[in-house]
Amino acid sequence: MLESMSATDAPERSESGPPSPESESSVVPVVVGLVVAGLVVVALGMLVAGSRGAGPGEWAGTILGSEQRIPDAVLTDTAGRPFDLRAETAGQTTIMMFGFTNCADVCPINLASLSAALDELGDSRASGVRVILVTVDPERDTAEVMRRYLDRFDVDFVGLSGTPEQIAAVQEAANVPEAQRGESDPDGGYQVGHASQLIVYQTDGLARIAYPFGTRQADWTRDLPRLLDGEIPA
Amino acid sequence: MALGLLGVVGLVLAAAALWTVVSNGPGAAPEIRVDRARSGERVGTTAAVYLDVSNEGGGDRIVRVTSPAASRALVHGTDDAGMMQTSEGLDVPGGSTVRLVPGGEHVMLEGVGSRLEPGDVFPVRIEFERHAPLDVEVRVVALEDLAGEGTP
Repeated sequence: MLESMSATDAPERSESGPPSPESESSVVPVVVGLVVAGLVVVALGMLVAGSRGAGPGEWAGTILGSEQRIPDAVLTDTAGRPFDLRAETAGQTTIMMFGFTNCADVCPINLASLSAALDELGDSRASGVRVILVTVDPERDTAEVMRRYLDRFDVDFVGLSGTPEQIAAVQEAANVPEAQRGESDPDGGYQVGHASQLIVYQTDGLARIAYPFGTRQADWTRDLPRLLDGEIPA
Repeated sequence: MALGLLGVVGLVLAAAALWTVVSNGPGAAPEIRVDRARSGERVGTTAAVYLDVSNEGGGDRIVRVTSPAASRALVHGTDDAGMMQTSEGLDVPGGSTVRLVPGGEHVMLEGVGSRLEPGDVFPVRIEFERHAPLDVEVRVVALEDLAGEGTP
């Protein structure tokens, strides 16, 4: 079937030149590719259904393999003061992510979705949530730059920085891959590849769930009240 | 019944594959269309543009993006190691649709002068290696509304 179709159709459609020998032989790989692509789409669909299916009792985030305690570290906040992660967040629900202010894509979408959800939940609930952005670009993200950036989303969001060694240690303790600085472009600008999930530490200082990039406002408004009420994700 | 349906699906896929092969040989002219151009609101002085680039002809490549709304536009993609990098351009192979989506490849606008509120529209010019430049209108959407579409 394939053979006869290619024999009749090929000469008519390739007006800009004779069909190349590779074209004929690449039909099979293309078909195989389509089938593989179809399977990938189905698999991804199942994954999404798994994470977002969210019937009653389900969670939009990813349940962690084991509980993780909030990193034991002292960083510096946007007022220039030391910020002891464990002491400052004791008894609070804390959402922590890594990022940098020159990030035009992942970071602002994460922060905007969370900020919109907190607005929707209202002050009485939102006040029980501490949102922390730890910069992975301490060189460019000065306290002032971070404060201005975070205020765009929520004046209560906490921005933390430290030495490259401190920031690497916090990423390790949070069980995320260490951020990697990309190559500089001709003007000296650069991107930083970093973990994009948001980790939720509950009032006992333990994280049991993390929310991937792409978590929607509606996912947060459904899950956050349950987390704030002390429900244990499982 | 189910087998028959499978057969039909197979035929459609095969026909699509064949059409792809025939219409985008190395010599064929690129036939490019840009759809769903959208951007988030400005954050600081940057904003990210996402769009779908469909090419029904021969292979091509985006070599430059410009916009009167920004002092500079850069294509950001991920390298082999999955790291976000500023790239020289973006391949648009024949017979494919390249989708720039939140959390993936995007055009980063720097030095954005105006606020870019949801509902605003601004122009972007996309230049290709072979195809004539395309002027597209980018629609600004709320950042939080981009969250749901990032993951497939």
